[in-house]
Amino acid sequence: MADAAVDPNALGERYHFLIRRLHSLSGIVPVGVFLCVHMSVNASVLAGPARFQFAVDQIHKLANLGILKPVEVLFIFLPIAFHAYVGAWIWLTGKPEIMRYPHLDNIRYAVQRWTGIIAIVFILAHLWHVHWIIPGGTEFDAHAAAESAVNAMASLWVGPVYALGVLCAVFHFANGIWTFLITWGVTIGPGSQRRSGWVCGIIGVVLALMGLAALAKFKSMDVSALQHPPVTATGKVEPGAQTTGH
Amino acid sequence: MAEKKVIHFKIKRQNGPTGAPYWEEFKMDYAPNHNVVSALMYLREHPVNVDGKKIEPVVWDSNCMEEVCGACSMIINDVPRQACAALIDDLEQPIVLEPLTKFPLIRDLMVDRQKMFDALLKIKAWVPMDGSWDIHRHAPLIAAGEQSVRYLFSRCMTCGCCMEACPQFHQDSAFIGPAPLGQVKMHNSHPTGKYANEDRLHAIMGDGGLTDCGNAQNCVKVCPKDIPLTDAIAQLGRQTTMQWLRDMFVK
Repeated sequence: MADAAVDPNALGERYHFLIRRLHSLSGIVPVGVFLCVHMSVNASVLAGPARFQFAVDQIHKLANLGILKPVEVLFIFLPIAFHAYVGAWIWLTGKPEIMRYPHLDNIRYAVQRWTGIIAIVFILAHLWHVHWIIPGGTEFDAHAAAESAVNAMASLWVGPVYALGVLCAVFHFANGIWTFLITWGVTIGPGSQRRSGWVCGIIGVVLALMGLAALAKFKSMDVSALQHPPVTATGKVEPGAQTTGH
Repeated sequence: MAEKKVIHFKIKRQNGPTGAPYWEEFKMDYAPNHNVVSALMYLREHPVNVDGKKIEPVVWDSNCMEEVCGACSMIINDVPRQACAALIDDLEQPIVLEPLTKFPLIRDLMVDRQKMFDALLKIKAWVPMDGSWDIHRHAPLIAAGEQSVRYLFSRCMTCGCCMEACPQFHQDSAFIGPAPLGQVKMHNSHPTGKYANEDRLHAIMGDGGLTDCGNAQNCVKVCPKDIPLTDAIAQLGRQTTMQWLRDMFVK
């Protein structure tokens, strides 16, 4: 029984709920999951360039199967584009007043919007910088992963821009998990929302540390000393092959 | 001799829905136990501004004088609240009064809160009664714990403070706002009210519905009645999720 004042066939009425829930879900799966994978792969460089190369090789097994680009488009680029498009529309529907209501939750609400905007601008810059989808940058070479990454990260602007981009993306994700749990009705009372806040905070801090540490490592690595040590199928570097400079 | 104690108001005024806003200051002799409404009543009897000029009295809305009707909502020293419950002795001076900004302005401090009452109609904020015949049954029982939760929501007086503080609710937005959502939660938890659960949930699953909440949680912090609005919103998140699944798989 539909309400007389509401036209149930209007597009906004029919798909509004679905679009908003897909926006909420897409932030976690697949975009958030991809962020975690990406941060983990980056952080693997802390265990040495060989370990990083091994991690990259695991991903590029998809390239050998010829499905890496479709997978990237389908599970990374399109979901991010959808999330960003709907997110930009959500951003435009809000009028934050953090001066009049300076509560932590309200500030978090505003920061979630700012970090979303900064993150999408950063992602576009990052794609131009190292990825095929926007040509013109330093194409990342999956076969010389560490060396290629170190080269790409060598410019002076990269440090602050990447640090800001990573922190914004990570905050947006961690706070997004918190609101996701409310949106879907998992955490209801203030107690459960406080506890989930701690969990999301820890996830955010861990991801931020992983991202920043990997960035610092790429910035400080001596590229001239980099070689490509042979890696066994299990990812173990063969004895004596580790020749990385720090 | 010590300076005479006064009550100093700074009031944002506007002569009509489309006029330009302007600020006017007033000083009146201090008297104990005034609240903002009683002070405004005094100013209505003595409509003279701080420059000694006789002016048209300030217009505002009020009714019950005991914080249950919701009519005298205004922004007092940057906080949306009930003017009748704002005691002069507790307020920092000059006391700054502004009309609510999220509802159409009528004049001075008076706004039109109709949008909220329309929303209550839309969400069927009532319990369907049985017919005019005797159904030979007692009213269904509600557990004491559930009663006390529902009581909190029953205190909503549609004052609009939560709506005023909500960043997602404003004159250009379709968002239904926190107060009506609290009423959906309350009526959905009533033993006979729940017969209309599906209608209420569908009413908040379209454009401007529950999903437009941004979790800024200002509503629960400004509510003069301490209504757990964010609990209701998350609870409805769960109910709409289940309703969505029912629509998808059962129908």
